[in-house]
Amino acid sequence: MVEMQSAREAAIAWHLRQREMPAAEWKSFVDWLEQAAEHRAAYDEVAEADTLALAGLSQLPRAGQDGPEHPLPSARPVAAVLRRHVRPLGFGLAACFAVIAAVGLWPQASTVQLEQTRPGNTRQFAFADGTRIALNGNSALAMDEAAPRAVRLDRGEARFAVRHSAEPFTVTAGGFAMRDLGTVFNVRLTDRELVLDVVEGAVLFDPGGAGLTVGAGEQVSVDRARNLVVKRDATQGGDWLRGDFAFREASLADVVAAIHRRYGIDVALGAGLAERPFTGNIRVTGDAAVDVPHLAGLIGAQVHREAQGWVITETGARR
Amino acid sequence: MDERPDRADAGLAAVFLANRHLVRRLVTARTREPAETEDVLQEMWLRLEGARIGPVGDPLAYLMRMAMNVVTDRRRADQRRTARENAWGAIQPDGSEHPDAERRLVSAEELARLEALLGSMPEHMHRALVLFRLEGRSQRAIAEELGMTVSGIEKVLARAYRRLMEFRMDNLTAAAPQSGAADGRSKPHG
Repeated sequence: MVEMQSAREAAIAWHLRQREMPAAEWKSFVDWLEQAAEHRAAYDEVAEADTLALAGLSQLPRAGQDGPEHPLPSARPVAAVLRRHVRPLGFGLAACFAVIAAVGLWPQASTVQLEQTRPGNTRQFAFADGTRIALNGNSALAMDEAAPRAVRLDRGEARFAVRHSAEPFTVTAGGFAMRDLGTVFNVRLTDRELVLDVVEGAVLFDPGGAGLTVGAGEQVSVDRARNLVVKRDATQGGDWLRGDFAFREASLADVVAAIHRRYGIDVALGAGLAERPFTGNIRVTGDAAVDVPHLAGLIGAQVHREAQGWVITETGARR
Repeated sequence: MDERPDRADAGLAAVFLANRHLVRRLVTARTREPAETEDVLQEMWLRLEGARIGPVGDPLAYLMRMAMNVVTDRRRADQRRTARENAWGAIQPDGSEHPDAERRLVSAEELARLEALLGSMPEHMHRALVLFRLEGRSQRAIAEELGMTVSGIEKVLARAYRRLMEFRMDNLTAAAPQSGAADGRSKPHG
């Protein structure tokens, strides 16, 4: 059967590979299409056949009560359809195809994807149902293709704008679960603490345990070493994505870590400064030459630049 | 550091701009019509602007798939002249609009014959096709699920598509003519 490939055979082969083709092969595919009108026509036929496949298959076991001859695999027809809508974007009909394509980008061995960002690099994810996640820099978020309504923050910070639906959206971080009740909220996980800030709506914190309902403008923080949970009014606003930081009873080390996470700016603190308390709002531009002196000015300290980065020291402190 | 935090799709848009030429070649080869090519590229641009897309592993490959999808989508819309909701409005979380929209492209009789064809396929071929086309699985994942080799899956899927192509030639001759007329030749004989 392995003879000279007809245009049709080649077109089918290209079509089957398409979902997993890297950029270089796409160039070859374009070359192939351009080579002959016969190739283009053959590909048209495959594309039509592909439409037919979808039309016919979509029809089959939809109701499913009759014990269909060909049940959808994995006994999860609904989940399978949903899954395709999970990943990025919201387009129209073609979007569904794009999403199918995008699913091919997930590592196939596992349905769990770990998204990690470096300091200063943020990422955003938009789910087809309208849910959005902004992942701060220096952070790690685990998402499961097979369970789109549950994510895990392993490190760093993320803001969630959740479209409420019958299936609750759950974030776990530092061993605690947070379940949205239709909302915008922010989660930050450091070695020291877990902080949940609710911006809009409400979140159920630790549904299996404490079961705290945290409303808009409220904050829950967990001292991880002591497992101490504190609920209080949230910091005023603050939007790290835009460079607006709000701190309350934080330390300068927290401030410096927040700026590093978001913008990748390295700032070293001189002796005694790391533990100094800080409460207030800071606007950060991402330009270290502006931001670091600004921060130093706010706390009445001095700043200079060394080979490794910026250093803030007590005024009058000797190096 | 220079990444624009509030525009997750800025990266894709930049890749699109940098590779306009290749994307255009692909779209031109598929549409054969300069005006349609322009419309497809414009639509892609709008989609890139209008949607937030998470990071993708191979942005150019992603854009090329997107171009293919836009071409296909527009062609179908054209063929059946169905007015379609705008892109954002069409997205429903339950995913059911997808098969329904597909179904409208094929008449009830055609669908019955199509089902008969699919039903007549060997079990493993049918399953492979469902996993590939409906569930969007990779060939490797399908091979694992069905306990076959990847090359075996590829052969089976190729056979399934061949059957579908033959079916189309035999049953859907009334389908709208291809926009490939600009090539100056008709489809290869069946």
